[in-house]
Amino acid sequence: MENQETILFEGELDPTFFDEVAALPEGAHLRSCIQCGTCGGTCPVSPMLPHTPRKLFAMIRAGMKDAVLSSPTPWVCSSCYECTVKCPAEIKITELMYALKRRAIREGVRCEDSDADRFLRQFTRIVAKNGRSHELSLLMRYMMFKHPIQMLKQTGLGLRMMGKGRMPLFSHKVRDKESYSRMVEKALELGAQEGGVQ
Amino acid sequence: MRYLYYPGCSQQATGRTYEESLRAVAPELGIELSEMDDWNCCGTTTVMAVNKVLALSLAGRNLALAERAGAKELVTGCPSCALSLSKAHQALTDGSAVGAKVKEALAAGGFEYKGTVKVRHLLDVIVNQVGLEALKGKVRAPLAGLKVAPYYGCQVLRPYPQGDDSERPQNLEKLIQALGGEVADFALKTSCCGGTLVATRAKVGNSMSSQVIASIEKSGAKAIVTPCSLCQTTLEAVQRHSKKLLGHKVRIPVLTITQLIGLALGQDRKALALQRLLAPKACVKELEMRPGAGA
Repeated sequence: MENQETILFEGELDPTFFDEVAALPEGAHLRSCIQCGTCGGTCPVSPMLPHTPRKLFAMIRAGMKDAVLSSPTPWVCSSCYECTVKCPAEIKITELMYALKRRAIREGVRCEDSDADRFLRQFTRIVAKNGRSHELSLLMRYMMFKHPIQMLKQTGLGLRMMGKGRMPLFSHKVRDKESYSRMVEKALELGAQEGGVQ
Repeated sequence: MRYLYYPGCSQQATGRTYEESLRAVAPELGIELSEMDDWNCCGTTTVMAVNKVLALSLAGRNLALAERAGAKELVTGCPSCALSLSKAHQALTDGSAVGAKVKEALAAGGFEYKGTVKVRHLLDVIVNQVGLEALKGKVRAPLAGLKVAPYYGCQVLRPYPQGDDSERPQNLEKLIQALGGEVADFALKTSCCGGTLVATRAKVGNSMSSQVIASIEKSGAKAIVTPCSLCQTTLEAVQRHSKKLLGHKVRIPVLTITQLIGLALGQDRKALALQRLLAPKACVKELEMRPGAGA
């Protein structure tokens, strides 16, 4: 992937973005980032992306809100927590990546280079409705229209998993649906205030 | 030892080999598991990216149900479930603002969590509770001469190490040795397999999982053991494309901890769900017919 440097003018920056992120529970210690690069050095995915966590934090500090929220890095973060346990400033980097994803979803900022948000939202919808996840419907919903070629490529694996009894056709559901749904509804409402949407 | 058991969704689908073999070996290890009634998805890493209060409430409902059932400990075989449940426990007991919202959501469903349940991963229970000496005493078909790669993956160690050292974990190594096997040494034992990236970013996901496989192959391991059902599936699936990704075919069976234990206890393939593995029959047969298996 080509790394492009873009010149930004002060007017394009968001002067409050850094403070907003640093004020989140996930942003604790962000002000202590000394740009040491331990996060990028331990991250298994960012070498394949334009921004390491270190670079992303420098961008947050500079107020490059649009570039941060549309960066593929949070979406490709695999939640392996390598950076979190190694960060000498004790920044909860993985949790911060979740917070950035939630903020991007809330503001409707899409990453041109990843539609992982669709995967995450489909998963959430299935669980909010049924109480349990269901791999087959998740993969079908995520891939059928937007990634038909990849879906065809994965068909062999899917059929083999089905043959092995590891990809059930039907999903389990919670039994006490009524109280479950009341909890989910309330959580969605309260979460929306936190910066979560469905 | 009686435990309340939280299976988690994948344990009964893609990770079925894990739960079926767990049910086979648990009684022999003196572990009595009773499955939690009406459990729901823990929210895992996905819901957290969409709605934090919902993610913590999903896990919180399970904690509330466990507490209601009178359980002091809640055991799960899935590292991601163990992490989500632990995170919810923390949010519900640390007096945080988000914890208050989660409590409110739980209350809307008629649930309450006081904070009395300890979440434990199965590997921790087996190594530190059942104990290695007790385990050794049960071995009828030692894994003599079998070189096994201990693959931890991420979330059983990070950010909360489950009864182990997150930098230099030893639980899997101890387990392999207690079962009479030989530990294969390889560099990427705590590296991420890529998980769901295989679906959302195939190139990155495949690169991560194939590097893990390459590192294991170099160690000369004849089997891989993991405490995670997602890792198990990912490492099995990527080997289907090993020729394209690594330049040559690799076929190393990937077992869950309970399948490896079951082999050493002399249990049969059906009980251990070995027929559900994606590895070619011959590779799995090799494990069963190894010298010393007594089969």
